[in-house]
Amino acid sequence: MHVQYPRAFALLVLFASATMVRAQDTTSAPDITKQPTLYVVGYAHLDTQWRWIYPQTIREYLANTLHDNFKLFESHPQYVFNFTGSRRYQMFKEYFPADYEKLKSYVNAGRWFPCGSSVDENDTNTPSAESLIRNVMYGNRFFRRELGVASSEYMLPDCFGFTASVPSILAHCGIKGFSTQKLTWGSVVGIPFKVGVWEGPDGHSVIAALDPGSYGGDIDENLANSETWRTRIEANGKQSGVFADFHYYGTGDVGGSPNEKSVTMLEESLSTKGPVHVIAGRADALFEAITPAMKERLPHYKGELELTEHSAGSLTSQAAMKRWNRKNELLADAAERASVLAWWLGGRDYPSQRLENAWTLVLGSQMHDIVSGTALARGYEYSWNDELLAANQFQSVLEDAVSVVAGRLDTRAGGTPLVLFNPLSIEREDVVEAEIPGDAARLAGVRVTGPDGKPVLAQVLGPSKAGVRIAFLAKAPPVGFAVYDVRVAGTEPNSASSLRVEEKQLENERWIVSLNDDGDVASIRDKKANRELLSGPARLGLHYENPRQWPAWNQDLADRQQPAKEFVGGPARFRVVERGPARIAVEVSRDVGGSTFVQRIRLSAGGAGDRVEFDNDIAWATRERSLRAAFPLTTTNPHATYDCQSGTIERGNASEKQFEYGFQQWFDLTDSSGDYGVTVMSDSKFGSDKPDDATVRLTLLHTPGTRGGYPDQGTQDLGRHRILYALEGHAGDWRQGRSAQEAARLNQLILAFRATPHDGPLGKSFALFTTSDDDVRLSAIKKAEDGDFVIVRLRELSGRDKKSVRIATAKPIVSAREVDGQEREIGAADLRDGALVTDIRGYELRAFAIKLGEPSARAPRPASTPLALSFDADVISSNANRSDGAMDADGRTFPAEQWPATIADGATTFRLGATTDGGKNAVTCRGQEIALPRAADAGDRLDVLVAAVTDGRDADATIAIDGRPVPIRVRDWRARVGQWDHRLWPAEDVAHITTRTTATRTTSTVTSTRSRSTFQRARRRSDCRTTSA
Amino acid sequence: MKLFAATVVGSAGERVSAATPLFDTLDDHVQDAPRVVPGAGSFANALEVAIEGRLYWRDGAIRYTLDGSDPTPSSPAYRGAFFLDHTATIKSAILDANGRLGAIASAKIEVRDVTPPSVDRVAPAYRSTTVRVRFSEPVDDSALAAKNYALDPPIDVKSVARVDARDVTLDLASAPVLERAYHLRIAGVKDASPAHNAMAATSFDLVVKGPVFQLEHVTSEQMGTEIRDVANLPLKATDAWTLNFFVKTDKEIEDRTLIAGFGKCEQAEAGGARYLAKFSSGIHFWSHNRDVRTHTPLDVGRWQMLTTTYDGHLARVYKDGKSIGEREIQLADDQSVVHIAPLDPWDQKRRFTGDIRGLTIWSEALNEDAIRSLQAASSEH
Repeated sequence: MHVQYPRAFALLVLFASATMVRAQDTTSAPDITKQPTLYVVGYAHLDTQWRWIYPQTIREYLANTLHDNFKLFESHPQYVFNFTGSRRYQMFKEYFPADYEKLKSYVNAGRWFPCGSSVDENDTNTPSAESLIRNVMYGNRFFRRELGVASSEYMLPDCFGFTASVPSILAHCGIKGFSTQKLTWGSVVGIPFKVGVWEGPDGHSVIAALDPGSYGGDIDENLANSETWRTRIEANGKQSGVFADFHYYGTGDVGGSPNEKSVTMLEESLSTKGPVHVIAGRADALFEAITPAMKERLPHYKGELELTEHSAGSLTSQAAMKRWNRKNELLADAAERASVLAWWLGGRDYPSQRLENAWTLVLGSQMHDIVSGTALARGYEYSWNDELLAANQFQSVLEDAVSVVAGRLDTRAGGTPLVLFNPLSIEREDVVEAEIPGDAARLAGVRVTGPDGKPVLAQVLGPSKAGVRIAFLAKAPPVGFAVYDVRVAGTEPNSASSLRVEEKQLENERWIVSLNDDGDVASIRDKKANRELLSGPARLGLHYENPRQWPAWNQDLADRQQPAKEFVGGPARFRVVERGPARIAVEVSRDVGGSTFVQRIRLSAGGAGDRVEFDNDIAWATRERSLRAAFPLTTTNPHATYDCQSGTIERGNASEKQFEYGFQQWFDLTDSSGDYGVTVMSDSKFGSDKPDDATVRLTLLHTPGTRGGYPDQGTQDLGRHRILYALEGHAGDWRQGRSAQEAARLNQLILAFRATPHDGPLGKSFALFTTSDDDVRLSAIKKAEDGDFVIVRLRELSGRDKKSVRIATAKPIVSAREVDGQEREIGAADLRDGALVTDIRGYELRAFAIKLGEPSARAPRPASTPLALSFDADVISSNANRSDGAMDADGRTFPAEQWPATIADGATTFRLGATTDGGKNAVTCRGQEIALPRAADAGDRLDVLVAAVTDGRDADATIAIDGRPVPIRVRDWRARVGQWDHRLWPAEDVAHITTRTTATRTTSTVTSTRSRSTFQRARRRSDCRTTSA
Repeated sequence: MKLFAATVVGSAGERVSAATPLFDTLDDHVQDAPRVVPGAGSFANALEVAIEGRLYWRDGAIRYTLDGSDPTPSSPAYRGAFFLDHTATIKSAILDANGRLGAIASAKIEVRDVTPPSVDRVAPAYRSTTVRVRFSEPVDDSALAAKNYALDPPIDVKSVARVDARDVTLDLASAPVLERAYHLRIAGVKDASPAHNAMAATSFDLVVKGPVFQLEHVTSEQMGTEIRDVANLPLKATDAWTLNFFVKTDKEIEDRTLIAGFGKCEQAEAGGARYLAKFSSGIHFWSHNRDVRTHTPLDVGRWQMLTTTYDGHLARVYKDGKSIGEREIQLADDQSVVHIAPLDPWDQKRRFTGDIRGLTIWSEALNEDAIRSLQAASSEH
């Protein structure tokens, strides 16, 4: 029976129950080596997007989650609720501020626990190791900051497979326990144990509860007397000495709360002295109760936990999400590294909040139904937008940071100075593409010289928006910068090059690549090893995909066992599109199955020439098919090696239970003899298969048939795709082939920035970090979230223990300590001669907080002078008074709750208007004059924050500065930043929630002729809104 | 345009810009032409023409013309496949997100319709006097003449009503007898083409089918029993079916109690089992991990009719002929067994207590009219 308590009484119950719950959790905790104990976790599963989209999640499901649980708290004093995902708590805070305050009081009373240690319940197959670490760090930092408490467990009840690296990454973050119920949906290796130890590639581990029952399950018996649970716990205890188990109950997938009958039954269980001691509370209670000694005796599993069905298709579905996720991970990484240097030089504050905001958009989109490609098609309108918002932020941070560094470099040049940035922690030589000013039609050649003044191999690729697109072969130091000088030439300079190209053959110092008449690469000959890589043509196959159920998730074995329905073949159109001397390329165009395939096969000179690259531009219009790039190789081995987030995993040929394999950046088939191997690497693909000993295939696209329902998924990924993949042959195994480093180079390019010429104290080349061992990657370099330290994360790549690895910086390190993935100190660090020296296990992740020595001279900071504006319009309203103000004719407004007083964007600080009711906060542009504060210097900039009300279209406007017109293009305030797809679904009416808007930040140089009004579709938006709903 | 802030930034330091885009600009994502199906050809009968988006399209954004002129934003919007019974050059383009038309697709289709219509489907309804007839192409008003239809054994066709260009509904003087073989003779119906080609006399089989399984009265002895190897049960994963019965209980039923249904009553393969149940939230359709939850209670002390239909994709739950919940689910192939009041598959301890009658299983997803007729038929009894 439901009892309504008077409000005052409810408050008393709340605090009384807090004591009871805590007492149950701690002081009365049983000895689980003797007393059978069941840890029960009340939970509501919420797919933040799935068959619904953010507005509905916010309006209905988050509201229900708050209110349903508040109701239960009032009437059931022993009820404790667990809920994951800091991003959902951000939404609580933003959309339900009063309820959020109430939630905080329940957290404080121990009734509501922010479990899961994540920004959202994420996918684990697609994100990088760094993403998983940030998920924990940003998630738990939010919980500690906002709610004063965070969990020591990681909770992914519903997720489409778990990579082998997950336990290593969680252990690195200081997480003790992990739970999921998804293995009951079909696990490749079964369910290894109920409660045991899951070990990662580096030997670090977490305690895992792998069979807790359905999260949507009810409690319909007295658990203290449950024969089922007693038997299960006894079996656990006999096996391990730990008489404990773990049990979800609750609801899903739309949030809410467990039902009242379950809660009532749980309370009865808690008050019963039966054979099973029942503990109901925080999701991490079991993992905290298991001591290290107990953990030693638990059953043990090392390896991945992928699903038999859901892990196959979801490795490839929604290609744009997966691509943009990868690109954002890399862009974030580059932005952070450059920002550390800009901050160390003193030119900027480190943009921690901006980076966290952008990361949160990316991590939120890694939610297990979004990046995995299984959400409602319309949900991707929000998620694509979030990825592009994040990309804008990362680009802005990166350009600003590089500006500071470039300002300290010697960029004096005879032509256009280009500042190159190599984010990787290895020295490298690769082809760099750049757009420079010039007239492509009148340009015959380009001359590029390096930091040493010597010319490098360079070529013109063709016209571009900025003028001319060029490519050149450049060297760059690890985590470092180099200045190159680009001069256009009337004639092609003579460059000695080893590259040779014809329509059907390409050759460099390492390879001879031959194409057949169908347009397939038929032969790749390794000149150095005198060996052929291919046993047959490398073809693109179109394979039937129409899974019996769950189309975006699954691929069926029966479909996979069929040969390709058709291959991309002739008639092929051949064209030599790049002739060297830095790079050669043949373009092959073919039409099959309604789709168009344009493939550019490329070879480079010098250090970039070890890869045979395939740059694909595909207009994909073929349904019920996956597209697979097949590589029949001369190396044979029943086992191949796959890159996972931290470490590698070996797998056999396709089997009944697993016939689609995930990977991060590369996989490798080294011959059984061990004398030669071939690595396949990709910039944005995550699925592959291996039908036999000598064939590996890279899965490029997946548009399934929908006999299993979900008809919207039958058109997923129709559209244009840019996909880069490459082959690399090597003597010995993948370690000798440096496959991890090669794949990193394919993914994280050397970035080029146009600069202006000037002198600089750092010279023409500068590296901040160096390592003594290329197998130890600096996998993250960022400023610590707290304090003036730099976090340097190390990842061992070879799987072999390394001793005394030395990490040196441009100035001696002053102090250092070891930290975990959440940046909490865990130990001391060894400093020798100003360098960090450490051992590291094979595949291990270790992180250090280091304090850098002062730079020789600090970079100046430009002055930022906000202008006083005569506001004449009120365009902002609070949630409490939505009728205040109007941005457009329909009375829509910007939300006051998200309108800051200032916005800091690099060197620029914007000062915004008042948000109070009736307060004016915008200037309606009608040709008014705005006085500048003083006589502007050459090079001074005017940055403006503007938005247009143009019904979805861009607006062209002009700012006249001292009479000189500067054209700008401004986005409509309600338009999305960009969409991969143009499809339109029925409109949603979500009132205040959909008034998500962005203003355009644009910059004009005050007195020079340079303007930066380059705001194209899907480019650059301000950061005045960064949330996704 | 609205200006919110302006700031002058001093000249100290460099300001670089990326020399190549740092992320996808989508410049190549231009609106492509749609595809007209068929793309060309000569035809002796009216044919259905479809216009499909290829790479990118928006719902309602396809514009087309039939007179060979280039489409404009104000040309008719394509709403679905249409019949063409004369020669035409179809031109079509898609409005992009900015309201601009993309590339134009063109298809010349020559039609000289000399072929009379045929009949695609004759569909009687259970215990009903109506029969729906679908022709192969649009038909003219000759299809509304009752004299053009005759049933053998005879039942008078009282009137004919048009549903749409291809479909009509015959209203009979009485409902056809269940499972009895009738022949519906149709003659003289003309298509809507300029030639008005007339259909020659043709007969079509008409049988009103009943359920594949029926248990009118469930005795107390039958409660808790299972009936194996029932012929023709719709057990394939994508088979359409209907489960219907009347139920009465005199006391509150425990949550997670199954009432009746078919298929293996176990927590085995996801999508196995098809059972109506009582859960905490109310009447509930249970298939392992493929449930349809409702918030409608199972009443105590009165007879009520519970129904679930499944069309291969969507499962709908009804109470007394009124829809109370639906969900897209994927079922699995199952075993031929019907369970009446089985033990619950979770704890093996709860069993429905009460009365069940009129349990029927159909190899089609009955529509709401048919479900209501079940309710009405029961009331008559």
